[in-house]
Amino acid sequence: MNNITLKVRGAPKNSLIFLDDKLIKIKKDSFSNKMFKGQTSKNEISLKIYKVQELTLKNWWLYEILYFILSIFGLFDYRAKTGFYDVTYEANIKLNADTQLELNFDRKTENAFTVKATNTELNEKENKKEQNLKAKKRFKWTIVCKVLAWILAAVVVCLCLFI
Amino acid sequence: MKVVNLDAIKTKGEITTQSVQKYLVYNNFLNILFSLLTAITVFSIVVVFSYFVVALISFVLALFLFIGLLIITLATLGIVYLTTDIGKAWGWFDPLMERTQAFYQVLDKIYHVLPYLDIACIALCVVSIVLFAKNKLCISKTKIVWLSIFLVVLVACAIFAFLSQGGSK
Repeated sequence: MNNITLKVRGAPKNSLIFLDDKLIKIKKDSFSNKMFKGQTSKNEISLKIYKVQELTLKNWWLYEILYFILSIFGLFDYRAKTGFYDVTYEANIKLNADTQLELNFDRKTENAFTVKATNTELNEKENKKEQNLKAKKRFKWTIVCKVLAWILAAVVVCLCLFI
Repeated sequence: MKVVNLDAIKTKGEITTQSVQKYLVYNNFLNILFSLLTAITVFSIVVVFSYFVVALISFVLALFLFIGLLIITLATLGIVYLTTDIGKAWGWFDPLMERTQAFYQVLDKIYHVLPYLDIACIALCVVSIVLFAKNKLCISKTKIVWLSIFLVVLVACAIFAFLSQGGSK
């Protein structure tokens, strides 16, 4: 069995990480780094990291309304409000008995991730990030709608108190 | 950290936009629900605790009132008993009654403050929750500021409504 320890730093919220085409549930350590420890019988596996903008997906407005209501007017909405990046990272990793891989999210260059430390051979296929302008535009509209909803709620509360 | 066996995880077909969306929606709902549930739990605990404090203050005041009345009654009875033979008891008793009434008035004033104490406790609860939300649920500073303004306005409205109601009486 080959072991793999994956550490991803600064990845955008709701990034999806696939190892060997399997979605892995990754946990955060005390420094908010995403950590994963796994083992497999294979000698080479694929690593895929995707970040998709939810505002560009199907029925986005419906989900936005539902999130807004459910999170009590967006108060408990934990999702990221900045950096509307579409991230794609694909690479093949050759495994050894104890493979260590540490990736850093790169905010300055066009590349999505940079390899900070590894003790194995890494074959990068795709490593890019680009800002999603459509999502950014839609986000501005959702902000306007949310502010209007807040004002409406304040008016309703005031009316309930005084009438 | 637990070591996961990758071979044991089943592949759920190809990675498509639909499967990604499904996962994101599920994940978001789960996270929001978890945040909400945590906040509700903390809110309930803080509210119960605050009301417990208010109840405790009320209890202490009631106890104070009871002990005060007991002392006054005993003192009155004692005075009446001691002065019956002389026949001037009621002359001594009147100033005591006045003092008792004054004591009642003080207590009345204290009880009138209690609703404000309630409002303060609720505001304290909300502030605690906001602080908790900021630290644990990653709520931004802007939201905290807006929420604080909203709460201040709300509390001001509540106090104003309370005062105007009292004034009309």
